[in-house]
Amino acid sequence: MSVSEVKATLRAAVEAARQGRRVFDQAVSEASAATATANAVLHGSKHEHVTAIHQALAAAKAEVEPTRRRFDRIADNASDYLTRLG
Amino acid sequence: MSGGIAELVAQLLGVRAKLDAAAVTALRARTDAEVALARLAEVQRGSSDQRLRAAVTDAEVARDKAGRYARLLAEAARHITTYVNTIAPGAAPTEPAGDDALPSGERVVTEAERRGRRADIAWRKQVQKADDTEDSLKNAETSAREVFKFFKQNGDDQGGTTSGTTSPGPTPGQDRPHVDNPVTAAVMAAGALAVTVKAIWNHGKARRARKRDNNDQA
Repeated sequence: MSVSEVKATLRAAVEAARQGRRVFDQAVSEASAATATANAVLHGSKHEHVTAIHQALAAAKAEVEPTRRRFDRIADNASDYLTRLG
Repeated sequence: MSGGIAELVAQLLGVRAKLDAAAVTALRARTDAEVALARLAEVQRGSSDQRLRAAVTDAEVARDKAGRYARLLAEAARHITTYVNTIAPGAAPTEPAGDDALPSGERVVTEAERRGRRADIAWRKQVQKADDTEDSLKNAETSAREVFKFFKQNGDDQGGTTSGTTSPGPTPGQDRPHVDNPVTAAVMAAGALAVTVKAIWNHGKARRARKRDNNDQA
């Protein structure tokens, strides 16, 4: 693989990572709206299935920031390497 | 069934549809991470650079986490289905839960078709290799059957289905498949995405596929 091919491939990786971050943000936005409605509708219920719904949504929410960070770091690290190649 | 319960059920089904749609979007993000990973792995073959290695790890984790996020949303959606069936046995609404239900199903199927068409033949063989998709497919199939039966028993059969079983498999060259459960649709999309990514990886058509993806996104 020539240097120019390496650089092109790295640029494609950075682009895919940035697009992934945008698409992931879109998923989070959709899920957040649904979660807010679920919380309002199910407020006060102690039913076991309701607890399971809340648990799954809370577990999903906990993944949001770590996932965003990883997408960003792909782009940062690959860009760094690209810069070093000149 | 009281009006209160009916309204609650309708609201919950609306939430479920939104969660399933969000899960599919998260699967698209997962695919982007997979594509980034494939590119980085190509470059890494000739290098031991630490940043490059870090980027590869980041891409792997981003892929896994986006997938986990999608699964958790689909899981929440599945619990909503269970809860609705519990609070309203034999009294499910006969109307879809607002406008969200249809676009959600349509959207995932379109996604599956668009990304999976070229890989249809390899579907069953490949999908077994793609993470835990096989289990998800089985679960979704069971879940779809249950939900289908539930609505059918309660007068929601719209008459278009000719078979009592729902298959998560593709229907190449035909009209959009009838999908009873958005989770099934989401998993179908996931399978199609996984297969597509494998095709990219295996045949080195990454660059051309990326252009297609970009066009799709536009």
